[in-house]
Amino acid sequence: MHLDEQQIIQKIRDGDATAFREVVEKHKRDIYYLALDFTGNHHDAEDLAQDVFVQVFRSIQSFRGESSLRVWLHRITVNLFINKRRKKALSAMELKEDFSHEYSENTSFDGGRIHGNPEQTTESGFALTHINSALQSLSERERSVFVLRHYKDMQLKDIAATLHIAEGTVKGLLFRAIRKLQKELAFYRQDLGLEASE
Amino acid sequence: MTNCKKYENHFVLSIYKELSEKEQAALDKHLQKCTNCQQQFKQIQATLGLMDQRQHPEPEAEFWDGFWGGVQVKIHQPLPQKAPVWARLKEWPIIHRLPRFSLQIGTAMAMLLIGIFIGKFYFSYDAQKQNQLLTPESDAIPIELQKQTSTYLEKTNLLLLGIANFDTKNEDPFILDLKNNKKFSRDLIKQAAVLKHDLSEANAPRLLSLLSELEVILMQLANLEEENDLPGIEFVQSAIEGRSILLKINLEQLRSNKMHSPVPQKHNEKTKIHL
Ligand SMILES: [Zn+2]
Repeated sequence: MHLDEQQIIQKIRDGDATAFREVVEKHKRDIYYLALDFTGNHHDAEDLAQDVFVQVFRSIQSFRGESSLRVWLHRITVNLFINKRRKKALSAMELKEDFSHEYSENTSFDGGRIHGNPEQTTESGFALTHINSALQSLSERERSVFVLRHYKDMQLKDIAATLHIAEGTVKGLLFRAIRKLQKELAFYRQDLGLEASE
Repeated sequence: MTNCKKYENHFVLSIYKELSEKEQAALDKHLQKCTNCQQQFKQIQATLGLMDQRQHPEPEAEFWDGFWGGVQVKIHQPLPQKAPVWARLKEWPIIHRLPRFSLQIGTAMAMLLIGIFIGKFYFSYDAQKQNQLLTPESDAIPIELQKQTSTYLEKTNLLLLGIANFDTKNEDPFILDLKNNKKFSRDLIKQAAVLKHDLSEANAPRLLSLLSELEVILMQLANLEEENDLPGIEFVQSAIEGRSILLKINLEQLRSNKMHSPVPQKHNEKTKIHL
C-alpha cells in the first residue's frame, strides 16, 4: 500500500474527519460510476456509492491495508450491491417477480445525456446506449464479475475471494457474460467493420 | 479440430492475462495455424473493444457537490434520538451493571467538584472572566449540532464515569464488561470524527479541544486488553482524573443548559451559577 494512503487511513482511525472527507472526494467518482455499472440507474447508484463510504467510515479500524484503498472500496461496493439485491430479491420473490424482468425495466440511464437528450441520439450515442443496455442485460452476478474484471482490472482469484465463490464459478460467469455481450453487440461489430457479415 | 474446443475459454483468459505461461504458449501456437480460432479470438477482442467505449452519463455538478453531505447524513442516521438519560442507560453496560448507588455517588462527586471549581473561579477571577467561563462557545453553532454535541458528551460522560468509579482493588473487572465498553469507545471515536469536523466549521475551538482530549482517553479505553486489564483500567482512570475530564464535560453541559434556559441569566447572579 502507498505510504500516503497508510498515513491518511491512520488519520481517519484517529478520528480526523478532514482525512475521511479527502478519501470521499478522491474516490467518489470512481465509486459512483462503478455503482452505476452495477445498478444501471442514477438513484440506486447514488445510494450505493454513499453507503460504500459510510461502510468505510464504520469499518476503517478493520482495514488491514493488504490491498490498496481503491481495491478495498471496489470490494465494499460489489458486496453491498449483492447484499442489497439479495434483500430486494427476497421481497420481489413474494410478488413472484422475475429478477431479470425487473432489470429490463430499470435499464435506462435516467437523467443522463446518453439516454435523456434526443439530440444526443446520434449514431455514436445510439451505440453507447446499446453498450450500456448490453451490460444491463447480464445477470447481476455476471455483470459484477465482468465489471470488476474488465473495468476494474481485478484478478479472477480476487473476485472469487470478494464474492466468496470458487474461481471456477467466476470464470464460468465471465465466459457467459462475454458470450451474451457478443450476441448483444454482434450488429455493431458488423456495422463498424469489425466483423464480416454472414 | 476437436482440439479447438479446448482453447475456447482460453481466448478470454488470454485477453485478461489470466493464463499461465505454458497455457499462453500453447494457445499462441494453436492460433498460428487455426484460422477458425483466430476469427473467434478477434470477435471477442472486438466485443471487448466496444465495451471499452462505454461512457457514463455525467450527473449534474450539484450532485458531486452534495455527495459528501449525503454521506454525512447517512453516518448520522443511526444515532439514537433524544430520550431521557436514564432510559438510555441500558445501552451502556458499564452503567447498567454498576450498582446504582455508585453512579449516584459519582454524579454527586462531579456536581460537588463543579461547585468547587466554579466557586474557585468566581472568587479569583473578575466577573468578566467568570462570565467567559460559562459562556457557550459561539452563538453561531447550529442548534442541531449543539444537541448532537450535548448527546455525545452525555454518553461519553456516562461511559467514563463508570470507568472512573470502578474500584480496581475490590471489584471484579467482569462487571465492567470491557468487551462492550471497548466497542462503545470505538463508536464514540467514530462519532467524534464527524462532530469535530462540524465543530471546526462552526468555529468552536473549545469544544473541539475537549473532543480531542476525550478521543485520547477513548482510544486508551478501546485499546485495553479484553479481560482483566487492571493496569490498563488504572491507566485510563488516571488519565480521566489527570485531565479533569468529567469536570470539563459537566462544565460544557452546564454552559449548554445555560444557553438553552428560557430566562437569560444576568452576569452577576452568583447564586444561580452555584446551582
Ligand atoms: Zn482452433
